[in-house]
Amino acid sequence: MMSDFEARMAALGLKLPAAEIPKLEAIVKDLERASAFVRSVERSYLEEPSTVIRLAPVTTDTNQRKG
Amino acid sequence: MTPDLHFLTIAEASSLIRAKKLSPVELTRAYIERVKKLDGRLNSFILLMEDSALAAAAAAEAEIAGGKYRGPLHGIPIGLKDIYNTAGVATTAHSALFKDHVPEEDAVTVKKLRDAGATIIGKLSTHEFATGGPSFDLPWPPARNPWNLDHIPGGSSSGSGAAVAAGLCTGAMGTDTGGSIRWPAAMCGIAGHKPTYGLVSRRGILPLAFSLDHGGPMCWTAEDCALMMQVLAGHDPLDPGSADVPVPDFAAALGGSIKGLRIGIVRHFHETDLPADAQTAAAFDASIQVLMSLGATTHEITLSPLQHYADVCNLISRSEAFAIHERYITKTPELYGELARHRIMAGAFMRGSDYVNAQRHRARLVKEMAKAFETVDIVATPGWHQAAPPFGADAMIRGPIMTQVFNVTGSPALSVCDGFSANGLPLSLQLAGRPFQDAAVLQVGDAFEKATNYRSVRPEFAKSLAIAAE
Repeated sequence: MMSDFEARMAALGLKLPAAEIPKLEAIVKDLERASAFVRSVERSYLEEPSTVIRLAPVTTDTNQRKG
Repeated sequence: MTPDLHFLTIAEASSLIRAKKLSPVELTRAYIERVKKLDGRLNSFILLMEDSALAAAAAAEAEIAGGKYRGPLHGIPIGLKDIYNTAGVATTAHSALFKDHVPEEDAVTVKKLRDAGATIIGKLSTHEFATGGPSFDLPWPPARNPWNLDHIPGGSSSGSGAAVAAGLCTGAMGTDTGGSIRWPAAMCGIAGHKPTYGLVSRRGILPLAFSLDHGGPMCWTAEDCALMMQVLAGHDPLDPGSADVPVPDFAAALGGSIKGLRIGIVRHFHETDLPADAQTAAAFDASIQVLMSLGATTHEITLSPLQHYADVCNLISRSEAFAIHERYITKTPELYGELARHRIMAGAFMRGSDYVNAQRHRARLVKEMAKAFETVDIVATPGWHQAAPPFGADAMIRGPIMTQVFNVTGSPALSVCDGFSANGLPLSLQLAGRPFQDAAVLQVGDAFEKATNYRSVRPEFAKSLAIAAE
């Protein structure tokens, strides 16, 4: 009988020896606690992540001629 | 050749090489012999690049003899954590999965080192893919701590820390996603510098987590880290994280007074968030007294709890690592060691929204740190909360650690040795600064090292085995 965690693993395409599954589950529990923390933080609808891209202007020959 | 030659710093060796009092070939050959004699017990090297290192040293010697001296790394033997791509030489990530991976090009940083005349002496042990270790189920054994072989050297740049401390190379390259330069530096009693995010190119370094990865130097002294940073720093337009900022004169910043420097002490980090052991706390307090004796002032500051940094760092790093490894770890999980397998697989369980919210919280922590640096110039913490534990005692880090803070914020951070435990293992001080003020951080580290005598002590392991070998 597959446990809930084993079913989640299977759905994600993950395979492990049975003896290792509790160790993975412990790490996942740590991450789920961390996830609960970031979900619980009050934040503005507008608050941006740190991963927005920053583009630099590109000078082309055309732009140079216009300049 | 005297045994002490192996323990020359980069600054000392380069001064002798420049003056033509030391042959790069002689120096490289001495390290190669030493690696052959000692590394069988230390396991810091995955690959000793004997032939190419001697050829590079001979080329350096010929150039210098001909009057072309390239700078302080010319003729200096440098080791590479084995996640730095090397053209035509296997870059294994200490993993069965990549044991036959031979890149076509050098990492940008490796090319910079070669262009500066450095001699690449070998590829060094790492925790598998810079995440899982120490492990005994990989194709190569884990590196050991030269101060006590039964203790871990920290990681993931474990071979780099061990090799530099044991005098098996003059300097080394490490990488740092949550502390992987500073932790082994702390455990092995050397200096390790995590540069500001974007100051050193990551292109050609096998990634663990793109938005947290940093490459940087690991040396016996902060001064040596500064000499390496002069070569390593610089904009790389093909690295999306690279910053187009001026490169300072790192060496010129050394030696100046730190009188009036404002040091921020985040006491809750090591007193309540992650209580340091008594020896670590005492060494930290003594270190602050040293800096105050040099004219610095101290200011207590409060930041977010360490756990918040850990949560953000772990959510981001696990998610990004799984994105990189998914296609491999779902098909051939047996080619990973157990620790890396678990750490990488865990990222599969995270929701996309949790990753984005971690990045949103990260932006908040970056802003908080910037605010703190309006009132202080340097933030000081213990580098680690304890000395190196024995193998098996603490294989998996699951709680918060001091180093992750500055991966999350991207700030420059340096670990230096600040004493020894009762059983002779190194203790450490972490110094962090404002973005792109790496030179100031290195200056403070250098001033600290020169005001103390911890740089005069080398691991007994290396001494005793070297004597036995002779």
